Parts: sequence; C-alpha cells; structure tokens
Amino acid sequence: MASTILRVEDVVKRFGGITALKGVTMEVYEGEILGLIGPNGAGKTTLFNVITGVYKPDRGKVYFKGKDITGLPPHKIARLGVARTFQIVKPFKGLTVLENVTAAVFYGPRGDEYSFKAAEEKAMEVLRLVGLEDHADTLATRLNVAMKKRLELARALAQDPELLLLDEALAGLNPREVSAMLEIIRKVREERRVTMIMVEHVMHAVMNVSDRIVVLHLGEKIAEGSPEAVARDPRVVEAYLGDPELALRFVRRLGGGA
Amino acid sequence: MVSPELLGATVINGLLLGVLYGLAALGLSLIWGIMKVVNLSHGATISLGMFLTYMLVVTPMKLPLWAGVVLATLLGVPLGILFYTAAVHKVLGGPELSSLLTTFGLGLVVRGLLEEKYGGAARTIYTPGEKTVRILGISYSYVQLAAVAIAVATTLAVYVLVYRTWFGRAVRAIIMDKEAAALMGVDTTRILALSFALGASLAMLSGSLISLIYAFTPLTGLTFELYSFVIVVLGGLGSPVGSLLGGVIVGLAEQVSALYIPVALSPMVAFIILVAVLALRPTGIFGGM
Amino acid sequence: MGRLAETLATVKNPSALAGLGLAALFYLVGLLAVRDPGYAYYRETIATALVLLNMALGLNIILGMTGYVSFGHVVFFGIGGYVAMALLEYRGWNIYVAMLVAAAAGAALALVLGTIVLRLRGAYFAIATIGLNEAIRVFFENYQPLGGANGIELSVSRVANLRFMGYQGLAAKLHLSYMLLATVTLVAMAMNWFILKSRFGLGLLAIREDEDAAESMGVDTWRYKTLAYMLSAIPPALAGAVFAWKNGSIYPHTAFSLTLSIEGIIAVMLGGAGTFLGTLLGALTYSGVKTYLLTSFPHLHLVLFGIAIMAIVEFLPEGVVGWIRIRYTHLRRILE
Repeated sequence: MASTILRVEDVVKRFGGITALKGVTMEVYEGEILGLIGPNGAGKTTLFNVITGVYKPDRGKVYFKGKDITGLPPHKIARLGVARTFQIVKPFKGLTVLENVTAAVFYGPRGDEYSFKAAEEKAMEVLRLVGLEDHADTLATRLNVAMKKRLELARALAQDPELLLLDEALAGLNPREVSAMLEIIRKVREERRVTMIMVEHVMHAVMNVSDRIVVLHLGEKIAEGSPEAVARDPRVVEAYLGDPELALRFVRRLGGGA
Repeated sequence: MVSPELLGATVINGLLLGVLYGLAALGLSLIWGIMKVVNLSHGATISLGMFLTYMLVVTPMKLPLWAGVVLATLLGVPLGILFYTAAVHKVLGGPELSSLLTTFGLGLVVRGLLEEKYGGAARTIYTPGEKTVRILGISYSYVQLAAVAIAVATTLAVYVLVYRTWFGRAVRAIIMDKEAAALMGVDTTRILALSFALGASLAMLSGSLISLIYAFTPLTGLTFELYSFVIVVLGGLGSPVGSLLGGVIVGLAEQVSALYIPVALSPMVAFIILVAVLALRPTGIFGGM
Repeated sequence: MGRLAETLATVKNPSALAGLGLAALFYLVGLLAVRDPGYAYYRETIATALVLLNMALGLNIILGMTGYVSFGHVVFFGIGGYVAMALLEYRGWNIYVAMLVAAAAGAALALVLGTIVLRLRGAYFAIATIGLNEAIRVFFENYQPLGGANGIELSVSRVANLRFMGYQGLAAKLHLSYMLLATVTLVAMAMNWFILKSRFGLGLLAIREDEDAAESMGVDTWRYKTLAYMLSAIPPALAGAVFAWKNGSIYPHTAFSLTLSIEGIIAVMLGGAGTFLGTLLGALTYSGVKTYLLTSFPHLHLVLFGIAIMAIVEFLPEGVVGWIRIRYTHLRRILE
C-alpha cells in the first residue's frame, strides 16, 4: 500500500450548538482518488474547510505528509501543496481565463520561481489539459457553468498540488459534461499522479472513479472501503434513506450490480 | 468631580438628544437593511427636511408648526420614490461601491440646490412664547419634548409596520430572497421604491423636528448622517428598536463624555465607538432584523 | 528572464509609454512657465489635476486593484500635509525631508488603521474608513499644539531663503512645489505600473475578484492587503505634503475633506478601476471637467457634479478603459 499523504485525526468542529464533525479520523493514500460521500449535512464541506485551514477544528489534528498543519491559515496550507475547488465556483470573474490560471501558477508551492513567461506557458499547458485553451483570452465571467467548473479545476491544478480536494466538481453538469469532466479527472491522475479527495453527489460517477470511499453521516464516519463494499453496507443505505432521491439512486446502483 | 445633579441633567439631556439621533438614523437603517444600500444622500435629505419645514412655517409660507412637520414628512414619499428611481434602482444588486457613489451624487445635488438657495448661513425656526418645563434645573421647551415623543412614537410605528403588516412581510421576504419573493408574487420594485420612500420620509421627519429645536445649515444633515452610521452599526441593520437604542447610546456617550473631555472632541467618541464596534462585532450589538 | 527583469521590461508597453509621455509633459509645462509666465495658468491648472491624480493613483492600488473601497482615503492626504507642515514650521526642516517623513507617516498610519479595518469587507470597510477620517479630523480640529481649527500657516521667513531656477522666495516655492508635484506623480505612476505588472499585483487582483479563493490559492491575503493599503497611502501623503507647502497653510476641514477621496474614487471609476491608463485619463478628465464646471457654473457646480457621478456609475460602471478591456480582450495587453 502506498504511503499516507493526509491523516485526519479525531477532528471535531462545532458551530454554536451544532457539532458538524464529531471526531472524524481518516487517511488518504498517495496517488488514490478518495470519494467522500454522505447525505446533506454530513459534514463533507466542513471537513474540506478544516483540512484547508478555513476552519480551525475544536479538537483533533490534520497531518499533511506527516507535518501537523492543524490551524495553519489557508494560504500556508495551499503553498504546502494542497489545492481545492469550491462547491460554488469562485472564478476571478474580471480576469481572463489565462490570467486566472497564471495567478494560480504563481502561488503554488514553487510559484516564486516562475517568470511571467514560464508561468503563462505552464498555465496554457494546464488549460490544454482541461480543454480551455481556446478560451484563454475570454473573461472568466463569460464562461458557462461547465467551463467555469473546468477553470476552477485548472486553477487548482496550476498550483501543482500533491493533494487536490474537489468539492462537487460535477454538480450542475449535464450527463455529457459529467463524463467529459470525469475524463479530465482520470487524465489528471494518470499524467500528474495527483492524490484527490472528491466530495460528490453524482453517485454513479464517484463510485466509478474512486479507489476508495469514505461515508460521512451527521458528522461521523460510518463506513469506509471499496465502492462495492460501501454500496452494500447497510449503515450507508440506512443513512441515505433520509434522503429519498439519493436512496433511490443507491438502490438502482445495487440492483445493477457492482 | 462631577456633581450627581449635573450628571443626572446630562443623562436626561443625552437621552432626549439620543432619541432624535435614533430617529435620524432610522431611515438609513431601514434602507441599509432592506436593500443593502448605504444611502449617502441621507444627510442631504435630513437637511432638505429642515429647509422644507423652514419654507412651510417661516417663509414663504406661515403654516403652524405641526402642519409643517406633517407636510415635510409626507413630501418625503414622492421625493423618496424620485430619489430611488434616479439613484438606486439601476445599481441595486451591483457592487456596493456603485450605490455608495450614486447616493452620494444624489446627496450633492440636493445639497447643491440648498446651498444655491440658502447659502451657508445658519437658520433657526423661532417659536415665540414657548412654554418650558424644568427638569433637574434645565429647561426644556414643549416643542422639544413633543419632538422626542414623536420620535419614540414613530420608531414604534415603524416597528409595527415592519413586523406586523403585509408591507413588512413583503419587505422581509425580499431581504431573505429577492427572486423567491418575486416568484411568490411580491412586486419587488414597488416594495423597494416604497421602502426607500419610507426611509426618505423618516429622514425628512427627523430633519423637520430637529429644525424646530436647533439652528441648521445645508450641511447640518451631514453631521446626523455620520452619527447615523455609528447608530446603525450599533443597533443592527434594519432594526427600528436597535436604532432608538443606538441613538440613545450615542447621545449619552456624547453628553456624558463632554463632562470629562472638551465638548468639541465628543464626535471623536462617536467615531471611535463606530470603528470599535465594526472591528469587534460587525453585526451590531443588538443583532440584525 | 527573471520575473523582476520582465516586470521592468514592461515599461515598453504603450500604456506605460503614454504615462511617461504625460509625466514629460508635466515637467515641460513647469519649465516653460519659468521662461514664459504666460504658462503659469496651465501650470496651476495642472497642479490642481496632479493632486487629484495622486489621490486616484493611491486609490487605484487599494480600490482598483484590491477591491477595498477606501472612502476616507483623504485621511492620508491630510496626515501627509500635517506631518510635513509641522516639520517645516515648528522644526524648520526642508521640504524634501519633510516629504519623506510624510510618506512614511502615511504608510505607518495605514498599517495601524489597516490592522483595525481591513478585516471588514464591502460597505462596512467604506463606512469604517469614513469614521476613522472623521475621528482624525476632529482630533486635529481640537489639538492645539498643531493649531487646532486654525491649522498651521507657514511663516514667510521659512521660505524667504528659497532659491529655485532663478526665482527667490515665494515665487521659487511656487515653481519648486510644481516640479515636486510632478515628481511625486511620476513616483506614484511608477508604483502603480510596477505593482500592476508584478506577481504581487496579480495577487491583489485575485483578492479583488474573490478574497476567499485567493487565500485558498496560496495568496497571503492579510499581508497583501495591508501592504497594498500602506502603498496606497503614499501618493496622497506625498501630494498632501507638497500641496500644503505650496499653499503655505493647512486646515483640518480642508485637509480631511471627504470630497477629495470621493473625487479620487470617481476618477478611478471613470477611467477603469485597476487600470493604469484609466486612472490617468480618469483623473485628468475629471479635473478638467471640474475646472470647467466651476468656472462656467460657479453656483450649480455641486448639482452638476452630483448628476455626473450618478450618470458615470449608472451608465459606464466599468469606466472607459475598463469598458474597452472587457469588450476587446485582445487589447488588454496594450491598454493596461
């Protein structure tokens, strides 16, 4: 088994009276794609925000490559090699696509070393990877949703991350766009060996692309393992029953065989 | 050492003044809370209320005081709708800078017109044969006490309007989700225009009442506008009662601090409160609406 | 080629050259006025424009590039003026040193104020800067060691010995102050240009567009915006110092007048926030129009000014250069 790149240890996060994460422990191995799923309110995005330093956990530790990063500000964690995308995309609207990605190149772990020329070349390379090279000079605000999602991914990749957190990169896309995005994600893994954690609601997609799945429910980890094993886990199905639509998808998934 | 009598009189003074500050801030607070617009024409509108009252009760017209106050307040409604159309509607939902600038521009237009007509000299509305009442050795005129009573009553009326009527429900629906409110059949443009008109009308009322008590110039409203920022930040956006309490706090802080530091420095106290509250608790002490 | 060398090489960009050309023109008018007093009118008109231009160039860094609406930015103009005048009048320092100290004081004040208010966003930041400016104005109105409401007026003896390009005394001061103002403007232009063309500048633009995304991308947003605020304080502080010295007086109500901040904001918006050329064009156009309005409609200029602000914001919110850059993105590398 590959070595551990990220270790989340007994993380607790409270907001006022609500405990969003109740002692979550998990590991992510180098090179894998880990699917992080769970019904709404499970604490997935909160966990992302704890890992990336947006929230400081009330208890517990986060280790990236063995280094304790708990409570570091987000920009420091980013510069160690952790990139993320946002559930609601946050493009730099008034800048062009190329400017968006060039900025990201400059602020990655070795961003300091780039000249403008080299940074733009690298940005173009990333844009080709996600298929936005023809829109380099387009203002980000002019892109459609699917393209904005790709730009979000391109910006994260341009940081040269070792660990990439994708927060619902597929949400809001139509089936054709979903498969195109999955293709990009596979390519990213093959060509760049980036470790990824995907928070996803598009169930068949996450089941197909992930090596392992972690299931969160009401702030606790209730299951972990291969997609097949997780899909058969009665606790998981039960957790999703509170969410009829997702439960239905689960049942379909089981009926179709894993 | 400050004597208890002086302190008592100062507190009462601060309370009475604070209630007027609260009324002056109320319109700013509502507009800020409802449409996320910091209305920088608020001060000019207060000044307009002062000079309209002057026109109505001193020259050219010589109406009774109460009629002047009522008319000035009512005129705030059509003026508010006009202001909304000219300066606010087009920039609503855009960057905050846009509405800050358009309302500032509108304020300049109003101020420019007032200065053109009245110049910079201070004016007063003289009320002959005023009856007064003494509280802790300080005389207060009936007009002043009536103004304070009207300010309190207005604040409560606005509270009822916002929390107990269809208008208030529509407004609160818009605050929560403008698109959803529109889908539910709320005529958002009309409600927003009316809200702005309400804010302008309250500014005119406060200007009108203040003009009966203190001397004023076209720039006087601006001082109240600056205090209104402090009060709104203290009281929370869109909260009528918060406005009143915020006004009282600022009034008390100003008057009581004047016992210990030079009176001219008292505005500094207000602005330090403003920055401190913003830095420590940006949602206001009394929370939002 | 290294990044610094690349940034420096961008002076060959047409927009940068246009800026340099303007700066040369400012100096030229100053020199012409020495030979031919007929140019003194142009010189004084430009001097007024340069004060606004420095305010706008300062604002362009914090407002245009970083997205923070520093409504009370005039506070740095006022502080610069007061620091310089206090040193000139009470300490007998020369204007050059006084200017440097004024710039440092502006940056230091921005560091202190920024620590308090840069955690606020949007309108709250704008309101807080208004509050700070008002508090500081009231302080100066009441602080008797610096003249209180009467301000500071420079003794004639302080400038009696001044010589500059064949002039002496007050006439020399007028000429020297103009040349200093042109130099300060050149410095502010260079600051703007090189920030815009640097990695730092790209980080600021990222903050302006989405601060959370910038932070999670690796931009140290707190340090960046504090630094941007400090840098943005320098041009108005320098202009404030020279302007006060030029007038020979400074008063709290004019030194800390919000109008200058807001005129600076309008200038930046008129040209295009976050652009170099836009800020230059915006400030010069605004100043020209204002001079025209003031002389042609002395009574209604406030009204016309107010209408102009509303019209610009409602109908040309991106500014002239900004509008072109949005519609013709291929021109972005020329029109900066």
